[in-house]
Amino acid sequence: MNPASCGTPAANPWLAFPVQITGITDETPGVSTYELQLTDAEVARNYRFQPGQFNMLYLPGVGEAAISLSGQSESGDRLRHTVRLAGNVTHSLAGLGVGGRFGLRGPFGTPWPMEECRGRDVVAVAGGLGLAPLRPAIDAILNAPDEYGQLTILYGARTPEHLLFEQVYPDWRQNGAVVNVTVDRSLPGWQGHVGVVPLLVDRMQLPDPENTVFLICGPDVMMKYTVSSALNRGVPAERIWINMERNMNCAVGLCGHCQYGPEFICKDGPVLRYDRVQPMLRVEDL
Amino acid sequence: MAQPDVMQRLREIPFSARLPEKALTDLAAIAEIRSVPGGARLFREGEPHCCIYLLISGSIVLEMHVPGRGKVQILTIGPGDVLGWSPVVSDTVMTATATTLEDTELIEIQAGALLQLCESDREVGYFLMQQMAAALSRRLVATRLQLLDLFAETTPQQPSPL
Amino acid sequence: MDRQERFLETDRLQTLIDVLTDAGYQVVGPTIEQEAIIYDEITSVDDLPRGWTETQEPGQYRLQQRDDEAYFGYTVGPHSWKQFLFPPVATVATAERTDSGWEMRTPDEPPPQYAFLGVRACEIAAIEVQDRTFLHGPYVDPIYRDRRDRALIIAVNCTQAASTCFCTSMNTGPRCRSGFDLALTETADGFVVEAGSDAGGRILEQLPTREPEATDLTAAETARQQAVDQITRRMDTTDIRNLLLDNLQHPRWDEVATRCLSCTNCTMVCPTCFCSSVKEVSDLKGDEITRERQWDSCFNFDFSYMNGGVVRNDIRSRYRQWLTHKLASWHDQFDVSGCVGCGRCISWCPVGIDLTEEVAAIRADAHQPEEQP
Repeated sequence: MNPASCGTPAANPWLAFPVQITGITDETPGVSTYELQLTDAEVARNYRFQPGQFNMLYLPGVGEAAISLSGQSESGDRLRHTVRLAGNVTHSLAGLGVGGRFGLRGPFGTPWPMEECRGRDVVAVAGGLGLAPLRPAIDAILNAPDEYGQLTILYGARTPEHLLFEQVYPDWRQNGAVVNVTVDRSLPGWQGHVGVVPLLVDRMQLPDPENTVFLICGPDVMMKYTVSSALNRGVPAERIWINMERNMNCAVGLCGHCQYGPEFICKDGPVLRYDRVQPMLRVEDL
Repeated sequence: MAQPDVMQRLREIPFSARLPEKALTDLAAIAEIRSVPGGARLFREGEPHCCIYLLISGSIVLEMHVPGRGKVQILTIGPGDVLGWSPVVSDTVMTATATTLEDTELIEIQAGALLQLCESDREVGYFLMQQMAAALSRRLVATRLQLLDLFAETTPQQPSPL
Repeated sequence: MDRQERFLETDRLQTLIDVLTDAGYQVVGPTIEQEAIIYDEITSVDDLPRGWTETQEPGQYRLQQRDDEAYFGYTVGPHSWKQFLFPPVATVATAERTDSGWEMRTPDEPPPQYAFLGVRACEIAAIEVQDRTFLHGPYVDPIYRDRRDRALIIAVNCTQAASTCFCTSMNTGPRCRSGFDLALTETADGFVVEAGSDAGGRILEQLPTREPEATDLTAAETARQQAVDQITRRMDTTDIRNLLLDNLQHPRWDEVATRCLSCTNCTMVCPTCFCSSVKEVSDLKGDEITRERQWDSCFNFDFSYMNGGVVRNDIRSRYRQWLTHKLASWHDQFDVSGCVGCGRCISWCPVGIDLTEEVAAIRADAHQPEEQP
């Protein structure tokens, strides 16, 4: 993937662009979606991202965090990032509030294989916060239903309280997607499914496994067993794509932090075809 | 005489799809297709039960009672799953309460007859127990994954640079 | 290519430094500091380690007096040219608080224009390896690019080898074949000089050289051959990528982990290691921020930190990451080995871990992957 075609507006990969927070939506405990506007009109006009890509959010004096784009506003000029409170950067971000200003570098990384999805059934499998990087892909498919086959969204969260973007599931269903949700731990009043995400893959309708593309995003172990279930159902390894998370520092393959075997997750990933990383998923501490 | 429909359904379910014809016929003879409306209780935790089930469609929730917390949902059972194996693998009581969540179609097999079938024809018994072990193993892995609590917010072991 | 060779008498070497300085270059060359031959700015031939050499063994580097007056009679020390092209600390960006948020910039002042004097064949290879990392990928590192574009490389052919050298195994030396602007071979009387670029040719024209005698060329050839003959260390690189990647669970990784201190020395002296981290450096008010890139190492505990945990938690996995990256996955990433055979990591390892020995041990008892049907 040529990053230039992904709309990175910077000639110098270290240059951060000023952004301003235009909206904050509290999603689940500790998770919020920040809507950011690039304040330089020229930069905003040239900025393009593809589903699955991430930005480095830069809080001067604090540091950077790699955050996947979880969507954009209708007008297209506001970028959504769904962030879990984790470390210094995300805590400082939480302290800013609407109107807060900081920096952004990006977009970086490989996108979901939307071309490969065209004309095929697509299964988006997410665990926890992993639904955020998948959301732009889901939106893209539902916005162009004629170009894709059936979209199935399988999503697992820790408890019913941790279900991300719950308010949009009805829209997704209305637009033709099958949405199956499960939780690891039930809470009183929960009428939905209990159990881990791979079970949903075991049980789903899969009429044409050889022509179905799997897009998977979640913790490593969840992805490993989801892949295993998909393979069991007859989905070829080369139709399975996973989104890997590593410690990204420079985001452009120059600092070595996010190496996973031969891959730099930041520039060769985060979206990787399963058959390319399959041998490495078996080795611990790689 | 088994209903021809049962044979067909058994062939479609992963649990029995690959059984030899002989085993399939024997199994069909002690099986029955049942349609159950949503909200029905199939069996109750702590009580003995007669049957084991293969789910064709619909869903069933398994709950365990915890003093002070009431009924806790443990797992949702879906199409293709095996349910209620206690009377086959041991002679004790049921370990959870099973309730249908919607209109559900299942194959009901008499546990006693199933054990008798396995005893009388060890080859058929081997095939059936192999399937049972595979189903148990899948359930065990799923339970382990649940136990890992993979989506929990991790508590940093050290100050995070992010 | 048949390059024209010229001869520069020993006592005219200063003119080279003068010509370079006059042409606007900052000359960096070998000099003695803290009991080692290191690379630093030089202005005179008196700065050079004339009459000195060194002995190297696993875990050992000792300066020694030569019995002649050779200027370049040593091999490689703890420094490499990496520190000038990819500085150990560099500002990648700045942020300044303004009334309306932050003013974020990247540095735009031109870096120094270096002339590297005394670059060995393995070091040219190392620079070319780093070119692939910093210049030829989808993203170009502007700091490296600006320095590299302006740098002049004056190579010196090795006339001797250390016990730790194994460039012949890695096909990187000891003879400089390309990638230089000027290349020198030192003989008892002076230097056989050849130009490898137009820029080098222009410098050569300004030097008080003469046509080399046949005896000069023979002496140079003999001197270069001496280096070849002295190289005794070998690394069998046959199918080395698959050898290592098929043996990620080899017991040797456990064994080496008991000796390795995870001190990062090997990665600091390695001329191709490129790992770094960016730190925020702030003034007291937090209004002026400098983003400083510092060399980092895959041997540092927190290097693979992610989401509240470290991915490579023990020394075994960190040493394995380093060696398999250097010798195996580097091929996947950059289509070249990450090792040039300079032997620095062997000499500067405080416990004398020798990667050639580690590879041989894995090869001797390698797990063969099952044949693919």
